[in-house]
Amino acid sequence: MSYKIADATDIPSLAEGTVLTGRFSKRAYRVEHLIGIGANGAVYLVTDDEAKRYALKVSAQASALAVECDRLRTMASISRDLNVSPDVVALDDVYFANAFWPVLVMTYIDGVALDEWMKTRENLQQFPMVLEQLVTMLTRLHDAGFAYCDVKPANFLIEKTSRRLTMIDFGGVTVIGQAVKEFTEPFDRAWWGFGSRKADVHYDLFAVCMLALHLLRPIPKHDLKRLATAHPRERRAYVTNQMSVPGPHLELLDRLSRVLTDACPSRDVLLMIQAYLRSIQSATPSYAHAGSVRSARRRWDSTDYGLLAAVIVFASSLVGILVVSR
Amino acid sequence: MREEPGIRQILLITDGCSNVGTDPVYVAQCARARGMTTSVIGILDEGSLGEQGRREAQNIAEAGGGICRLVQAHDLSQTMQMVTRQTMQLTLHHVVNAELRQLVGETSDGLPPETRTKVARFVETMTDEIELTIALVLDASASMQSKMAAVRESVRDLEFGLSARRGAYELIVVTYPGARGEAVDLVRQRDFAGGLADYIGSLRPSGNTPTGPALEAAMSELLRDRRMDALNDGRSGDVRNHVV
Ligand SMILES: Nc1ncnc2c1ncn2[C@@H]1O[C@H](COP(=O)(O)OP(=O)(O)O)[C@@H](O)[C@H]1O
Ligand SMILES: [Mg+2]
Repeated sequence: MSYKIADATDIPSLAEGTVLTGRFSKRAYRVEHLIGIGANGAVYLVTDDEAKRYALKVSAQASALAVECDRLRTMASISRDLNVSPDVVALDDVYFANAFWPVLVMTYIDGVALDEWMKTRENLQQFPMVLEQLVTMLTRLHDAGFAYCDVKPANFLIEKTSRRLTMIDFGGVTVIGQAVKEFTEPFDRAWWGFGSRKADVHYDLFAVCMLALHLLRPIPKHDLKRLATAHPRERRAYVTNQMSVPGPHLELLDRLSRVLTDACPSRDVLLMIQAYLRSIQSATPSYAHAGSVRSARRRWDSTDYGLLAAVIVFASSLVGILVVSR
Repeated sequence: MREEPGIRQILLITDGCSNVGTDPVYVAQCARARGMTTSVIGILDEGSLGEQGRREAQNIAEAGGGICRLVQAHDLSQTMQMVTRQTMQLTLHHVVNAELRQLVGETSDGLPPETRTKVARFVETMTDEIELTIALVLDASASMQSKMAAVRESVRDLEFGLSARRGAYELIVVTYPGARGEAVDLVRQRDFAGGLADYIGSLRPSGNTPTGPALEAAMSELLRDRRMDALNDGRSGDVRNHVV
């Protein structure tokens, strides 16, 4: 068998009821249905003989899948207490459509993608907390020498029963210092003209910020389309403009930029978000009255809080970029 | 320290079928015999690629030992980075597998998953560190007019991706047909302080589609490069020398 490179679309689809047996593990899985197709593979819901559910990722790139498996294991070992990523069950090959296909079997996460979940007002209010969880996970990876590099709503599920944020798709996780392997333009620092495409802490933080922006003030499709043929300089100006909506967060931004004078690892961002969460839990933030446009008497709604959190991350990543490029 | 001879790739971007000069499939085959892979990205917008163009794109990539992807212009940036990366991995696996077959009588695909993971990690590191020379062969025939803005930004973007790697890289751009009646124009990154993207932005697509001659130009430029290196340090070699 030779080394193959194929698109996810080149993988023959698997019908419900198909039984796949691991070439090495000899364990059998029954295909229930397709969950999703990404750039690197197709993910199926499968069950074993005890009807336990798993997510099985079929890929045409054995090598990429093996690295992904390796990164999932790393994440599990550094965040056992958090339990925020699928566990690896097996890396194996299965035989179908006249060939062996590499598969990664993981625990199944029964959840909703972050953007879907954020559609209700009640959940929207949880956004700062979600952001905290997100940065916590990223910080673990950063401490272990990896950047996640593919922060986008589809890669984070809110688990149905525990309501915990779970990170899936470890295919993009890159050793800090190497080039980013996979990117999605609306979350990519280089595409927006804010820095390089090297995997580092700030690459992730920038993406978190774009994720916040995407969830709270979605960038219209036609703007993205127009920006696709624009110079990164113009894209940068566009984001900066999107971020500078008038509101009470401007004062905080100012405060932050005075506080953040040194390199800012993700742990500092985490601390800042935590401090911020404490401050909104203790009633109205003291700096709310400083709002120049929004009235001091108007109670903040969740969007204000979310936006504020986004700005915190954004500001720190900006400062980070400045420090890094010096 | 060992010499690091690196990887040489040809990446063809076209929205149509060749219509003058040498057969591009034949050229891709020759390039492969000389240690270069050829990959192809076919642009689907406005349907000018057609059945014939698709088949040709696939045949060139197959003969060239590379990858073929058919995409819309707005997916060009991501696809260029992906194809470049995957083609490198293909080359590296090829070399590693040849060695493994000699050592243990198996390619990495036949190895148990744990061992395969070690090989994969090694290839991942090499992908980031090995020296890379890419000849980007760009169709600038009349039909490309409406897609040039997307191509220009994709090339800028490709340079972001390449410069983020730890390994050195060089980008050569071959556009065809040439602006002054020649079959092709060839520029090197080092000749263009202002960036290759802006050079591409200045092109006015027109004329026919001499894909074969453009691939030939790319191949001989990459070969010239290698001979120069061999002269410079008195050695020549292929990836194998470094990988093992
Ligand atoms: N462990 C899992 N549990 C539940 N769903 C999953 C799991 N892994 C992946 N998925 C689903 O499959 C989709 C594609 O998987 P992903 O790993 O993101 O593939 P790709 O790397 O190709 O983007 C995801 O968006 C998600 O909906
Ligand atoms: Mg994904």
